[in-house]
Amino acid sequence: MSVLIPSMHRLSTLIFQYYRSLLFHNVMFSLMVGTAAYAIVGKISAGLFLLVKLLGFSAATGHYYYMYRKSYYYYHNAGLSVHRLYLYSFGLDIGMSAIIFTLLLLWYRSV
Amino acid sequence: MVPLSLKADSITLEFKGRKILQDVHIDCQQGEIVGLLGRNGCGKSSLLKIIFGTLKPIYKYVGINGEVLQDNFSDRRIAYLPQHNYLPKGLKVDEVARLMVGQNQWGNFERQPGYTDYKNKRTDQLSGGELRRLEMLMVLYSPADFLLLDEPFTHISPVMTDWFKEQLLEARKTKGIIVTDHQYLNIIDVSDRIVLLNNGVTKPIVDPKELMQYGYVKNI
Repeated sequence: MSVLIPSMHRLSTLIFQYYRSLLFHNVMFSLMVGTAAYAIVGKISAGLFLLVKLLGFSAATGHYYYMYRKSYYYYHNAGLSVHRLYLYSFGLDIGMSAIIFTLLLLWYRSV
Repeated sequence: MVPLSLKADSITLEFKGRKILQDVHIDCQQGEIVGLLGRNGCGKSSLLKIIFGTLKPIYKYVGINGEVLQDNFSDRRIAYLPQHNYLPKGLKVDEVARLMVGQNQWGNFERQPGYTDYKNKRTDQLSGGELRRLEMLMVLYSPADFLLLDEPFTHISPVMTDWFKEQLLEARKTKGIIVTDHQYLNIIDVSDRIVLLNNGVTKPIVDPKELMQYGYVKNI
């Protein structure tokens, strides 16, 4: 018996699918920008964290667009515009990065 | 039940100062296949993308039964088959199919060999032909009331062409379809009416011999 995915679950699955395909380049670009920013400024603040994530995510998105823009029609046909795709996956990226960053900070302070 | 009617009107598109589409009109009803013909670069694909909502023209009106569509794909009333492969690589066939195929269409879709034979594979494990057939099926069995098909007959084998024509005629029972391709004989064969895009405007073709008068074909 087939079970189709309800609309909210469908939306989140689409976002995760897209985000998953960005993940490697997103982490790489964010690490590069973060390292360069830390070397210049000397500390990580909330504003710098957001800027690093924005630049890293934009570079990963640009790379995906250059390499695989034809696959945007899949997301369109599934009912998701590019703007919403970018917005939701960036929100997801900020949330996940903030959690990882906080855990790393807590671990760093505990040792 | 009154069939739905898709109407695209006053579509104007310019590219680098050159007018590609000038006040173009095209319409399609549920239960109808409209064949869109035209020379290379005349704006057929652009017209379909404008109707779908992924290309922004200078002006457009797109509506279904008089209701203006702002963002045509968000409510999934229109589906679009591009010329090229569009499924992202590395995803499971079953996973992408469940996100694109309509709830009411799933029962028929899951019996299609183009899906069942590959549902446990990833999209990048399929050959070009297998992937194209899957992509065609997923658009045909989408929940959309209207389908825009851009060159579906190009790069497919004669057997697959015949299979796709049967699928189109089946989909026509519940959907309106606008289809464009350079394989004009297939388009003429499958369409209820033909529209020619020539010099930036659409012209209804009553007799295929008119295609010669417009210089689209030499013989027919």
